[in-house]
Amino acid sequence: MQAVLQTHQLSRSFGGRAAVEGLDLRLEAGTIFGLLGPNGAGKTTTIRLLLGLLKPSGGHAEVLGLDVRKAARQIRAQTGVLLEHSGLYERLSAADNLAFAGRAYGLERAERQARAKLLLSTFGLWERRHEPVATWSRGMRQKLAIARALIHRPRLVFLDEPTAGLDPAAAVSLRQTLLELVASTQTTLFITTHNLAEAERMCTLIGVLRQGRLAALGRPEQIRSASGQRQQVTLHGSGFDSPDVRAAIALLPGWTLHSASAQELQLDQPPSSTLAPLITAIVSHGGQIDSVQAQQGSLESAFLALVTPQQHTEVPNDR
Amino acid sequence: MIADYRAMLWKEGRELVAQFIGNRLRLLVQLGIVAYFAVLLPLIFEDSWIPRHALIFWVLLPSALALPMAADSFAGERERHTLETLLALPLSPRAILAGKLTMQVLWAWLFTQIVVGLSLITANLIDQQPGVQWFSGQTLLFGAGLSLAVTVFLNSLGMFVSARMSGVKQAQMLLGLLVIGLGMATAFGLSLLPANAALRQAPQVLPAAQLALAGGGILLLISQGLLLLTLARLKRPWQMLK
Ligand SMILES: Nc1ncnc2c1ncn2[C@@H]1O[C@H](COP(=O)(O)OP(=O)(O)O)[C@@H](O)[C@H]1O
Ligand SMILES: [Mg+2]
Repeated sequence: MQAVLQTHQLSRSFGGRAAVEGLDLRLEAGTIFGLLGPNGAGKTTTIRLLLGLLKPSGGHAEVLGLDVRKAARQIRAQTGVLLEHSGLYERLSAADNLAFAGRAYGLERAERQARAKLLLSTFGLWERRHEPVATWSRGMRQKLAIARALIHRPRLVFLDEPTAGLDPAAAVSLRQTLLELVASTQTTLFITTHNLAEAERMCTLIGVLRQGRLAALGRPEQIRSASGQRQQVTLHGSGFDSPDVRAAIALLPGWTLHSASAQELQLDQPPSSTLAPLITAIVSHGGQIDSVQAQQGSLESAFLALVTPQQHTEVPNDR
Repeated sequence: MIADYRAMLWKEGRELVAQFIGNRLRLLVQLGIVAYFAVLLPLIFEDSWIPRHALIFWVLLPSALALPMAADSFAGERERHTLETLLALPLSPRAILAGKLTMQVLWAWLFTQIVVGLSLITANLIDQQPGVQWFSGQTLLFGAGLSLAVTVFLNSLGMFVSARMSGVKQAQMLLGLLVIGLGMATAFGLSLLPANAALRQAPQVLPAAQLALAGGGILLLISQGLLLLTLARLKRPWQMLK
């Protein structure tokens, strides 16, 4: 398969301090890639390098088969982008903001209008399209900025922290709509975030950036297991104190029991495993399950383990 | 390139209109300018308005209109966080520059021509003499042509400064100082020349039209240099975004 994006030892430093260092990345069409890292990790710098807005101080990068040093304008023509700031013209209406982008991307009038209508409707902004953007909430602006990035049906879309500053509900709705819009189109998404849960929910591939270096690269479940952290599972129900149930759990490879009572079980889930064997084991030995909870806290600690510099976690670089 | 240029013109035009729609005070100030130049000044200067004073304002009014816009052109986009997104569009740098220049010059120059035209009407209305007073062909060229050259020059200078300043305020201040400085330096430079130097005698010897042509030509030449320098910077987004 042809790579949509490929970097080799891509680096950029500012006054001797490396912001991005030795980045090796290869994305295939249709990937939803999450570049995960804390503030200052180099996420924004990476996107700028890939769009030719910054010059690399070393290494090489090709986007859609085009060299970022030589063909930045062709790259920009075929990619959509939401940068650090929404970049919207606040005095202009939403419709005008989209119209300008449509013109800049060379869309014909009819297509421009059809795309604007579809995108604004999907994001629930159509009724308010004539209002100046200045009067809008952050969530609405962010949606509009994403609509702008998608207006010309780009094959590759860069979104720099698209849900930053949104409340959880707005973030969820934004993620859903975005995924709906690109589903079945083979569009490649390059999303940066400092939120592991978000990356896990959205992405098919995650890269963890730590002080400009790629600390891990893999599918979401690989990232979690690479951190050495295990997901905690809590079950509520009845009959958990039966010796048969306990014996069946003990036989499950990798699972460890933390605490147990007749109504509650707490277990550590082995990396890259599913809940099915556990549930089958309990139910088939007479236990009754009312609820299952996977602990989010362990995701946070997985992320912290990966991005905290002092800790040296061995991680597979799954390519 | 043409499509890029049209996209930029469209966007700059929309922003210009939005500025007035969204800001009553600005609209009032603009109407105040019209009233001042088109009605009040002709009333004050009476007979001397058309042959003499109108010319001064004809050439100076565009600068009053052009400078704030030019100062805002890039520094404003930087301040309002739209510059990086603009540069991330596939627009050619030439089209971005030309689009901004055209819309600013068109607006400042056309506005001035309308105000001067209105002042003519006022002057004729208050005039007791029979017949219509009008500019000579030479004066028309001097006024309309030179005011166009001055507008282009000031916008080119303004965008040159604006492309290098982080904020609109700094750009405005530096630009104001530059324009005053340039004016004073020119006047001082001329006064240093010996009394019989060709350049000093030119205003007395040469017809006004030729003077306007020469002055306008020089201004346009300098403008071209400034625009090329700004273009070179625009081609390097990392410099623009500093
Ligand atoms: N233009 C710049 N000049 C100097 N340092 C910069 C510049 N841009 C980014 N940096 C530095 O590079 C590092 C990475 O920044 P950035 O890419 O913005 O991180 P992130 O987007 O992951 O928060 C930070 O330490 C930041 O201070
Ligand atoms: Mg960032």
